[in-house]
Amino acid sequence: MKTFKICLLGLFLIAGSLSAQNVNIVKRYKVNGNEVKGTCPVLSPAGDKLLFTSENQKGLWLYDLNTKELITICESEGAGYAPIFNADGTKIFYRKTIYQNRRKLDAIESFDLVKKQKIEMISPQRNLAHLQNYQNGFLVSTDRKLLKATFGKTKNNVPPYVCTEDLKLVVYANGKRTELNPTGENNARYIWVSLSPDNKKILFTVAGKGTYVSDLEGKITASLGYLNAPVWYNNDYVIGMQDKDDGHFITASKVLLVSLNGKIKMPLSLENEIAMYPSASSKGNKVAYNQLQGDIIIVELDVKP
Amino acid sequence: MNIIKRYCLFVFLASFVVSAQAQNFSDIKICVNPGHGGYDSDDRNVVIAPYSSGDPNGFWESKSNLDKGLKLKSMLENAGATVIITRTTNTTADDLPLSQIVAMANEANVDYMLSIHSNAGNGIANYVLQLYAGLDPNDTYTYPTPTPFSDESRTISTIVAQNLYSNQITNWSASYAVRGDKTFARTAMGWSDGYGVLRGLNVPGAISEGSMHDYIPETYRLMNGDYRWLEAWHFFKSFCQYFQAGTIPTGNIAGSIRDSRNIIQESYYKLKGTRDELLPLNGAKLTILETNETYTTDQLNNGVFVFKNLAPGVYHLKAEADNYHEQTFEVTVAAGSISYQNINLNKVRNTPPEVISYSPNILLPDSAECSTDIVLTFNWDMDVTSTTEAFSITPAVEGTITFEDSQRILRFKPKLPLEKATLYTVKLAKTAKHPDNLSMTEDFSFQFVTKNRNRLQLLTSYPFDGAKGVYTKPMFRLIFDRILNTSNLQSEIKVVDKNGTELTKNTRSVLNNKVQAPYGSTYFELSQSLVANEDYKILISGDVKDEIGMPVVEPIELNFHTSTVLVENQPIVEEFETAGTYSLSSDESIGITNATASRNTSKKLFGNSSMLFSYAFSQSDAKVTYSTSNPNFITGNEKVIGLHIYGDLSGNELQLKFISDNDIQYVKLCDLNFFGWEFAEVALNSLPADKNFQFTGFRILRKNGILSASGEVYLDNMLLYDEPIMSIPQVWKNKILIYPNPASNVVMVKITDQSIQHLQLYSLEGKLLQETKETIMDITNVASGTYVLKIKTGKDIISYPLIIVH
Repeated sequence: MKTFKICLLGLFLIAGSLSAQNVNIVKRYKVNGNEVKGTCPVLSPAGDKLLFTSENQKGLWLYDLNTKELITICESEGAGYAPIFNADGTKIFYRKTIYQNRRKLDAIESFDLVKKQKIEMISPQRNLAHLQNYQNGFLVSTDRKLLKATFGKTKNNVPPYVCTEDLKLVVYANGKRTELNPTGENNARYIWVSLSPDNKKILFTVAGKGTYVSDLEGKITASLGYLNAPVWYNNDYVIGMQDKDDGHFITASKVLLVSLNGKIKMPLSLENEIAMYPSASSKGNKVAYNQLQGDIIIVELDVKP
Repeated sequence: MNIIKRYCLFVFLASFVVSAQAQNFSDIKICVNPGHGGYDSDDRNVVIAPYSSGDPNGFWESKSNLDKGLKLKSMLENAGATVIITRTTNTTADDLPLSQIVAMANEANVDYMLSIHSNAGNGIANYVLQLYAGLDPNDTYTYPTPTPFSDESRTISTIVAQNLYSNQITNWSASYAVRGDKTFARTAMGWSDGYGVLRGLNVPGAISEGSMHDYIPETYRLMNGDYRWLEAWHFFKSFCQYFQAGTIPTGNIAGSIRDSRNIIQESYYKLKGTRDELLPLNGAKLTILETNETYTTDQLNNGVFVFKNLAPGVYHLKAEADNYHEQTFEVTVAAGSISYQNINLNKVRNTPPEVISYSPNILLPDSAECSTDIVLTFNWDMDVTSTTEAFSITPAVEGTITFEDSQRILRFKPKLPLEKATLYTVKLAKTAKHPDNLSMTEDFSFQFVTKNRNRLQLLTSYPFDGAKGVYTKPMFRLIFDRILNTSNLQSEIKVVDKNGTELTKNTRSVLNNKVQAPYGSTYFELSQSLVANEDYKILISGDVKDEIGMPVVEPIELNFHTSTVLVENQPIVEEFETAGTYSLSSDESIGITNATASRNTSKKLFGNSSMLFSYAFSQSDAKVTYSTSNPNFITGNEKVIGLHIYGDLSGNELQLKFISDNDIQYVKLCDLNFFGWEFAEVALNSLPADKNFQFTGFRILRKNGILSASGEVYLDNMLLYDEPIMSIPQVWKNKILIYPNPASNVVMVKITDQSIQHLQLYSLEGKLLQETKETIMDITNVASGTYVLKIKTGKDIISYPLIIVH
């Protein structure tokens, strides 16, 4: 494992000048250093650490926004695809893609940031859905079965787990697997599914239709319009991107903060940048996104209740 | 009986094949992304007949991609694969953002993502391009965001490319290409971030540009659903190979059916020398005799036919089309392959061939141009060999025979223009036949007479051949007897230096056909100045033609010698710097429509200005006189006058006017047979002796040159000195009087101090045309043009340019 000491350039651009009712942008800056270039940033729960990957999710790196230390977590294929932190930000869970007879399989590894230790938590599987934070580990489904993988004793109160399985929206709750189709569309294809921080709402996108929030039974409670790669900021706000293309190339994209009540839709990126794949930490009051050409931008927010 | 046996065997084999399930895709998951979506401006509508622009029934890449994708999905699912298809309708609503397509492939955990497209290549290219996620192996460029190289994506893309390239119905303009999308986007598209559908993808993936949809023969093929099925089948076969999912147990027969000789008449581009030039047969019927399965080609000008999923074995394929000879072919089908059988049918020609029109079809007393081709048009496409052998022309003419319009037209192109005023007889013997071996019922012949002109002629030029005092920035002017075809003038008229190096023309200076019709001309300047006192040549190729195609034939070479023109070391008697010092003298002018004298600052050699003398004549025996209000020198006949003149190539004569008391004398300075600056001088020894004359102005006498009707002459610094300073030929110019020049019927020569022994007239190519021991030569029978008149005296031989105009 290689560790780099790099500088964080606090590129103060705009402080408090943008505001949408009770949301203010405090700071926007680029994470400095040529090594910190990549895509799909993931902020730790406290917003003090940043995971990022290469264009095709091969490899995973962690950058500490406080100590400015860069750590290579893994150089495996698939490692950068939707990694998660545990609740206290001391562990990272990520996948490791291998091909057997040209069939894709994913294993899940953990990386202990304190002990600098890797452990394989799930052996290579087919159809491994995305990870959802659970106690000191995670939940994940594979081939229509919910797996729990934690460090230490697992409590009985398992929260709902939401995911897509062959682009169907699936909820595992109370020991039961349920396929939801909130929009009621035939052949609706669900992507970018996640559970709200209070475990009561589901955020999802229907390809070609838009992004929505529903309750756990699939009743739509908010329609957010065209908003790709959405993630929760907190229980009231979602961050996502509005990207445009010409059928071949990405031509424009901006990152927005959207309130579930429909009253706030606030751009967080600048007009002249192609901003994509945001991540959020409400505890750290931060949003991170990558520009198309690989720079990673941090936006610090002041969000009043 | 044999066919019945074969059929029974095939029933057995087919049932065996249907029951066999050789492929196993049961654990494979593939994302199929038919590129684009809808009928919008970014959905690549290629307009082909009979569809208009924007017609949803016409060709749209979005629609074509979707059909291929759905067909591939069906094949994969039938083989047990799980298929994630990103759209199932060709609607704008289903035209998903690229980020959503990537998310679908990632979240579905597919093993491979294929984005199906076709490409555009300006209508003249057709090849397979596979763009896999990543970089070319040898790409060392540093990208803003690193992209891991994808071996797996490259591997499967290569398999796909090879299978698509094996298609023998189409014609490829180049081999297949397998490229990393980021390298290709950067080098070919100027976009360093790669293709959006491959960015963020965490599984192997590629964009397949299966062929070029704007290559119109391919556009028509892509309109055929079974042709699209073949592309989907090639994808499917590639997946079988890549995932080692087993061999496809069946095979296919595919091909296109076209006329064996007739070509497509529409002007859209077809790859040269390929079957794409041949006429596709719409509505042709193909039958597999063993199974009686039939296929009728569509009406969309592609001739494509496909028999799918056949049991391996030997088949007999019968091809039929209205008015064509049917043919049957034996085709062997193997498992997992396509047996290509491209078919060219022979048309049924059931009547004898005959000439239905011919050219030149001109009856006496009219006559044909000597540059004409001989053209015969037939009712059928003809057999080339027998028709060529049957053709003859009398008197014999050397030339070449070509065939056009699918051998329906014979064209005989003479190597040289035909002879003048000659009766020609064209004959096609009845031995000429068409490909069905029927000959003409009788000989065909016709006659025509040619006109009395068989060369494009150069009438005059500047510089003319032998010109000595050409300014280093000459204005080249070539005037011909007919309006020029300008298509090849740039390359076929050259100026070269003494080493034969071509000098570059200033293309912005080129002016063509500026003289009054029927004459033709080309004017130009050079990009750089010439070197003074050097030899140069104008080379006029024999391929320079007039507007009816009459060529020069024999190349023309015009030699000239440059001069600084500027004479500065002699006393100046007139600088032409003061406005208003010269004016038209109407009393001394005849036959003018207008004439002016004005100070000019744009064309000058010295000081700030020259004097422009412009004139337009209304009759043939015209003259214009300009008088000066400031007569500023007096001279006797022992002096020499030199003058810088910007000539107008009119051929008119420039004279100096002198007065001594009531004695008015005109002295010829030069003929204005040049264009641009030259220096001319004249000894005043023709003035009466022992008298002083005052210079009072200029006179221009009209001659009979083709440009004599009007002109503009600029004059700068006039000099008065004691001894001639110009070279011997220039001195001769003052002693020799050749008139008229240009001449029409006779030309007369006088020399002031020598006797003439004989005159010889040469062509510009050096051929002696005629000679006489008289001082008058009859040129009535000499064609219009520029010639060299050689004058032999007791001491010298002098050559002089002579323009003859009839």
